[in-house]
Amino acid sequence: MILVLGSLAEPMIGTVFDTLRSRGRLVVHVSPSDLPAAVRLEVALPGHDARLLRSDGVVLSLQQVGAIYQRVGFVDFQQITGYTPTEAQFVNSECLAALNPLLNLVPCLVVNRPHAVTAAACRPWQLSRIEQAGLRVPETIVTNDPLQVEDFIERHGRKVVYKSNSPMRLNNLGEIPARAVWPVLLQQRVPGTDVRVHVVGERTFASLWRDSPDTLPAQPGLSAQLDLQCRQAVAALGLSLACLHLRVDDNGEAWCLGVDPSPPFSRYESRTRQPITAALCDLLENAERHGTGG
Amino acid sequence: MKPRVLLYGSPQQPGLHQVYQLLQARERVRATYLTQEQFPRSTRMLVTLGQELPPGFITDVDGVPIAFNEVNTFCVDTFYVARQAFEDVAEGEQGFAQAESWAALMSAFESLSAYCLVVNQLSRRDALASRYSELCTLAGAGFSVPRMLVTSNPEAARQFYQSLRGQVVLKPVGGRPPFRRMNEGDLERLDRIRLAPIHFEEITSGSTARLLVAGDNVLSLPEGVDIPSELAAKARSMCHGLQLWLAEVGVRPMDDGWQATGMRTFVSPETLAQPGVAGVVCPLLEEGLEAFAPAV
Repeated sequence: MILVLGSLAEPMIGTVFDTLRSRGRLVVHVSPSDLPAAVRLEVALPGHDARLLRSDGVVLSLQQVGAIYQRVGFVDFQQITGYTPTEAQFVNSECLAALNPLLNLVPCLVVNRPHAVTAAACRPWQLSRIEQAGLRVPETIVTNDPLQVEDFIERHGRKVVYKSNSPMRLNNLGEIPARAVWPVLLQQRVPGTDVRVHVVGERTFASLWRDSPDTLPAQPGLSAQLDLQCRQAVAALGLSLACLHLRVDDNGEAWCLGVDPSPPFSRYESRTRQPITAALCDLLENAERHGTGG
Repeated sequence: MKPRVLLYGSPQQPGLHQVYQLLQARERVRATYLTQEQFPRSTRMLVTLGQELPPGFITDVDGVPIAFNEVNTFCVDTFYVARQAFEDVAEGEQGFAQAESWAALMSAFESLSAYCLVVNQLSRRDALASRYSELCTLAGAGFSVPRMLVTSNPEAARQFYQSLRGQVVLKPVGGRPPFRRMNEGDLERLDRIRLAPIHFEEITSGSTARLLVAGDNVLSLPEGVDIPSELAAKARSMCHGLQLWLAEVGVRPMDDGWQATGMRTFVSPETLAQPGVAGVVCPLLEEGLEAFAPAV
C-alpha cells in the first residue's frame, strides 16, 4: 500500500494519487487537514502500531504501508469552530508534533522525511552539504562582522547577493544592511543561465528556468559527472525528491545556488512535459515492492 | 600548543558548565566557554563556503576570533537564540532576526564538524524533540519501553487507561511539558482529545540505572550495577546513529527484563558526580576525533 498524505489543493497530490491508482496500485489518500477529528491518529508502543482511522471506517495501519509521499508542510489541521488564534496554533503544533515523528521514524520510504526537509530549509546548511557532495557553490559567507561583510563585497567587486539563512524569506533580500545585528548571508553573484534540476531518486530532469509561463523551456542534457553530483547532493541532504537551482556560467561551469526540498514540481512538469510524476510514482512503487526504506 | 575545546551553552545547562570546569582543572586543553546569551550582540561569527575562502571563526568573550580549524572539539547541547536580543529591532522583524540567527548558528556548528569532533551534532535532534519521539526512537533501537499511546481517539484512550488500571500519566504531544497523573475526572472529558492528540504513558516504578555513552565507551551507572552488555551495545549503536557522542540512556530492571526509561543528550551533573565518569568524558573531549576509530 502507498500512502499519499497532503491537501488535494496541491496539484502534485492529486496527480500522484491518480497515477498510482491508474497503475493498479493500492493507494490511500489522507488529507492532513482532516486530522485530528475526522481522521484520528493513533500510535501505540510497544509494537510501534501507528494507525490512521478515517471517518468512513477505513483503518490504515502504517505497518502495511510500503511507501509514503507527503506534503504536510505547515498545513492548517482540522479545527472546530470558535477556536481562538492561540488555540488554533496549539492544535496545529500538536498535530504536527504527532505526525512528524511518525513520518521520520516509519521504516518505509518517505518522500521526504520532515527532518530532512527542515534541515535543508536552512540555506547555509544545505549549501555546505551540497558542496561536500561535489557540486560547486558560489563563495558564500554568513556573518555579523561588519569587516567581513566589507571584505567580501570588496573581494567580489560588489557583485554580491544578500539572501536569508532561514526559510522565512526565500527571495533575494535586496540591499545589504549597513550594520545588521544578526548574521547575514552574502553570496557571490554568478552571471549565467538558470537551470532547474529535479532529482527523483536516481533520475534527473533538467530544464532552463524562465519566468515567462508562455515558453516551453529547453531541456539541457547534464554531463554524466554533473548528473551524478546532483543525485549525490540530494542524497547527502537525506532527500529522495528535490529541485536543485543551478546557474551555468559563460564557461559552461555549473554552480549550485540552493535546493528546494519540497518542490512544487507540477508547474515545471506542465511546462516541460518532463515525466516527473511518473518518476516519483516509479520510486514509490519500487520501494513498496522491494521494501526499501529511506 | 594545547588543543582547543570550545563549549557553547548557557548557565542553565549545568552539565556543560561542569564539563568546562573539569577540563580547566585538568589543564590538558585550552577550554573556552561561549555563553549563548551573548549571541549575536556580543559574539561575532563567520561561516565560509567555497574552496578559496579561509575557515570561519567565532569570537570569545574578549572578542578574539577562534578559527574553526583550530578547534579540536566543540561541545553544544541544546541551544536557542533569545528574542530579547532583538528588542530594539522593529517588531515585525524580530521573528525574522531570531530565525536568521538560529540558522546561522546551525551553519556554524555544521562548519565546525568539518574540522573537529562536535559533541553533539544537532541535525537529528528531532529524534528527541518530544517524549513521544524519544520513546519511538528507543523502541526503534530495540529497547523495551513503557507502554505509550498517542491518540485523538477517546475510546482508545479509555481502553488504555483501563488496561493499565489507571496507572497512566498524560501530557500534550509536543515539546517537553511536565506529565500529570490521569484521573477519573479525565475519563469524563475524553471526548475533548478529539481537538488535539494527547500523549498517554504507563507509570512504571523501581530503581533506575543509566548507560553513559561517551564516544566508543559505555559506562553502566551507578558503579556496580549489572546491566546486560547487549543493552550497552544497543545504546552505543543508537547514539552513534544519531551522532550523539555523549549521551545517557536511563534503564530499569523489570520482571520481564530491562526497560529503557528515557534518554538525554550530553551528560548530567548527577552522572558527572559518579566515580570514574570524568575520567571517561574528559579524555573524549580532549582527544577529539582521535578518540575514535577512523570511521568517525
